[in-house]
Amino acid sequence: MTALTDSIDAETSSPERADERRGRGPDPRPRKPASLRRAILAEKIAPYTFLAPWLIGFFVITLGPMLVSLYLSFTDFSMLAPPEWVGVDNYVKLFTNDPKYLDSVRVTLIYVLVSVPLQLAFALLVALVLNRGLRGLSLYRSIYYLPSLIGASVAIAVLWRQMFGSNGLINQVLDFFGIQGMSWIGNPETALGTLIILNVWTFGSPMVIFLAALRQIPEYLYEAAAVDGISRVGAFRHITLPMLSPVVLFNLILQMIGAFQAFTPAFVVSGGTGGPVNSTLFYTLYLYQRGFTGFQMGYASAMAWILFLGIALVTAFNFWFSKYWVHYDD
Amino acid sequence: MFTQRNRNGLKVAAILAGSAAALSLAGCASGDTGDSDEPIELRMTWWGDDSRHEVTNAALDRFEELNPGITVVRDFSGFDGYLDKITTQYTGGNSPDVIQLYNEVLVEFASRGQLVDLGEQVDAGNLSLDGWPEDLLEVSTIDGALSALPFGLSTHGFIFDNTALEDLGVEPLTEGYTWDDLADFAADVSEASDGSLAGVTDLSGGYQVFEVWAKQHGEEFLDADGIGFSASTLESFWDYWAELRESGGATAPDVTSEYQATPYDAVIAGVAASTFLFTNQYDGVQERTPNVLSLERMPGEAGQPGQYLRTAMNLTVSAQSEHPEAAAKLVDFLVNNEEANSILGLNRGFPANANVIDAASEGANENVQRAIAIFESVREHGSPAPVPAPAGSGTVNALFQEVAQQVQFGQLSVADAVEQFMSQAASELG
Amino acid sequence: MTTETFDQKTVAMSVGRKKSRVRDGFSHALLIAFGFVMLYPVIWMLGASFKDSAHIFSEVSPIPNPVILDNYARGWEGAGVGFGTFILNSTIVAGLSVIGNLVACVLAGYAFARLRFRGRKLFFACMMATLMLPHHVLLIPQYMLFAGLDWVNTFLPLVVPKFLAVDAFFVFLMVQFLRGIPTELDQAAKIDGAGPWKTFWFVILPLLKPALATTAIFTFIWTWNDFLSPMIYLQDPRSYTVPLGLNSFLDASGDSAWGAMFAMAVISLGPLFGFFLVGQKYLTTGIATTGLKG
Repeated sequence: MTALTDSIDAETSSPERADERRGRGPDPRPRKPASLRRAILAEKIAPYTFLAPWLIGFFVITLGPMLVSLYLSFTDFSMLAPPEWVGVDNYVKLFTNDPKYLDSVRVTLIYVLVSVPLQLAFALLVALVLNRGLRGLSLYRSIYYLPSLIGASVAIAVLWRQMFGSNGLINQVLDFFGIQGMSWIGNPETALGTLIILNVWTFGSPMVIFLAALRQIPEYLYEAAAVDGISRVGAFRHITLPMLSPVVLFNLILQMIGAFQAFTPAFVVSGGTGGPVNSTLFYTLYLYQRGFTGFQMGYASAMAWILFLGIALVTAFNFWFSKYWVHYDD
Repeated sequence: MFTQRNRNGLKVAAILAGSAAALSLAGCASGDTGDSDEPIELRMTWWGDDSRHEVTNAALDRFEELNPGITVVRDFSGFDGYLDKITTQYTGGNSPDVIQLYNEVLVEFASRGQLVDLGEQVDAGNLSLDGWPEDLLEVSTIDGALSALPFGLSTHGFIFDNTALEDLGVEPLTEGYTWDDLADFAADVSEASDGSLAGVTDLSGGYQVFEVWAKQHGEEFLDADGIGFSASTLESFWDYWAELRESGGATAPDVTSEYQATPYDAVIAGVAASTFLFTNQYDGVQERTPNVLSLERMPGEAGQPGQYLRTAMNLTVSAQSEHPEAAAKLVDFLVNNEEANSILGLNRGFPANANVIDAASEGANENVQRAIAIFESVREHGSPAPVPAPAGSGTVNALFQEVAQQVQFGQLSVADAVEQFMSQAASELG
Repeated sequence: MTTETFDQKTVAMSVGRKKSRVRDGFSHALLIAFGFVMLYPVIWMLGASFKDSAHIFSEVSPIPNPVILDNYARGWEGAGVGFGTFILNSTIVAGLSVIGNLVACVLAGYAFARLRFRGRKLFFACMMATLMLPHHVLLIPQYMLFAGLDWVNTFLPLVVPKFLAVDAFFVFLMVQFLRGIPTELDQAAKIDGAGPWKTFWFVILPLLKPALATTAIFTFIWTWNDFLSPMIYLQDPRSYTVPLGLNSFLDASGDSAWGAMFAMAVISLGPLFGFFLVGQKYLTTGIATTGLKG
């Protein structure tokens, strides 16, 4: 290996010498072209060596199970008996004979469209504040991250009831001002709202990613801007945002995918029912109900593949549209 | 922790290629009993809290002492994710040998031939049914096979928050009270507390409550053929609760929804003065509030009773088990052995085998004594247990709750709701 | 002239400092108030862990009265296995996962972001696609795969995939961070004669510290909190991880040891929070602080 890289080094370290050699026509020593070829080959192979773990993981661990689930989506599969081929029945039933499915689509779309922009705006704002040279910033960062540590745990069901239940903190505060509260998690008008707040509350992950990205913006850009007399707002618009845009795209895409697949908050807060009156029936929650509680894994797989297509379309659009606002340095 | 038996990298490709085929093999069991001298390892799964894990582990320790050569791996967990785990392991051909299953899913496993017929193990002498009431065995018989044994029985009950009632000057209801008494009581509580305390949680979405109501009307909620009640009975039930909501006696719909899964939490939180629960939950619920709670039978039990000795959970043996005999012995030990039952106590409910009830209830505190009294009163004056409902009943139970909730929030009239439930339930059980 | 400008400058500076001190005070007040709202549920949980079971749900105030420690004692017993064992198991699984993700995802990310090779676009699309299928429908096929390998009831199904960059989230994270790093640096290295591995090791990796820290932090936390996979793959309580331990206190169909669960939830926040505290230090060392100039 070292010999190989050494030979690459010898070949490329001094371009002039290589030119010289080329000028001299065919190399008299036959060893060189072979090593040159080897070098070129090595450069061609190198990407795959970097990619090797991922390639193995994809083909061995991910692709197979994905194809199996695709196959299952065309079957009636109770998990306790062999799957039976039913063609496109599951897909047809989803769109023609399952009003609850359409409910779950509606709930999920609202959740994605409202909670993702809110959470990202919030995370970016806090990251910008916490990126300033304030004392004790690492403490604030940590405190603000704490909710994300427990946001996915079993405790969250109880904690959310303590916040938004009929006896919760919100109602106590309202009561102090003489306002009659209600059970915010028990009301179909507001239950989804509390889950959106839960998502915004756990803004720690995008915040950390924004923070990390902010630290990667070279300081000299700001120094140069200051010399040119560009204002803070101008610097934010012309330096921070463009330099941050690849990571904004990352957060946008990943948070959208995450929101489309949101499961845990609805599961723990509604006890797995998606209630009240299906108002928190997230797509994957309904998929789970069908698959694991209703023993219809074939149907659940069909649901999964439709979601897959939906997410793929949205993501493709995001990538296409990013041409107009994401700035890359390469 | 990285113990691996015969790892074989080449297997990967074969598995991927054949995984669809493997799916169709997952149901097959190897009936191979193995050499009787070889040590046997059984795996048992159950759900519960840590106190249940503690007593079950102690009982299994005793079983291992009494049966050298058999070890039991204890695969215990909480309730969340329990079913996912069991079904996934089944699909992988790797199910536990002895499984604690809940009522709603028992039929799903049994009707697909995934459980050992325990009747065969009785015939083979590995399992005894001495002291077992005949009707309880019928309840566990699915497609002609004894698929499970009740691992703890309970019955319905009603709790009243006596401390809160004393403060309000309202008398708690006692034995022999009717549904009308409950309605009056609920309205009184709501009035006396200026609406800050509901008399009772709105139970219109509780299929277990409706089950009792139907039986009191001489019908069943679900039976072997599917729906076992008439539309008018359901309409009377939902009308009853609509009136309670109107009088302010029952909890508001948003509060009902918040406490849907565990109505007794509404009593603990001081939101309602009474609700329904199962008798085996009473002691644990009482422990969670400083207020004094009283336990009674359901309303309307003085006439034709609707309560019955209800299986709280089941003990089953997987058809995938390589050691069905040893597994049956373990089941026998857990449900019939006096020592085992004195260790297990009443954690899962009352033993179905009448011979070990005394051993199990030894040292019970006064709350549990009260639960025993209710249980015994149902044994004397109760209704027979319903036969297993067909597959799909779990979905129907959820549907019941869902439709009732739409009525609570005023999205459906009672009449429309009844019609909608009857037709959808019929198609689910179809 | 020169002295005058100098004076003006210092005056302006001191005014600015005063102004910014006021503004800092305001910022702190806002950050603290906001922090309290963020933390209320955590405070409630902490309070609940010191309450006896009769007072956790029957009273509204998060302040325990009386303060009891029984929950910690009961919880630490960990259903007969010992909660320490669960924490140890989680530490092993999360620790190995961090190593796996750091190595595998950064390699894949570098290939996608910086190298040109046949199939790059297709593989990138495949990588993104793996993020899009809800994992509930993959549980069963993956379980069959690992059961076939005889890996069930070991940590292998939880850890090995991390070494194979199956967490596409982090691969994509690396890609996006790498694409934000100026390519002149690579070009310079190439001109200096460094091959892809050398460029990666000496030029790219040091600049990726914030992204690596992010990956380490998230992997640790998410693996630590992961519930469904350990639930399905681990069959012996002695190998259970923390979420399984917490779950084993809760029986949604009957009694739950809420106090013990909250107590252990508080305890298990310790390692998580500690890891975050350590990891976040590296978040703040990027190009900005290493003082790299163009």
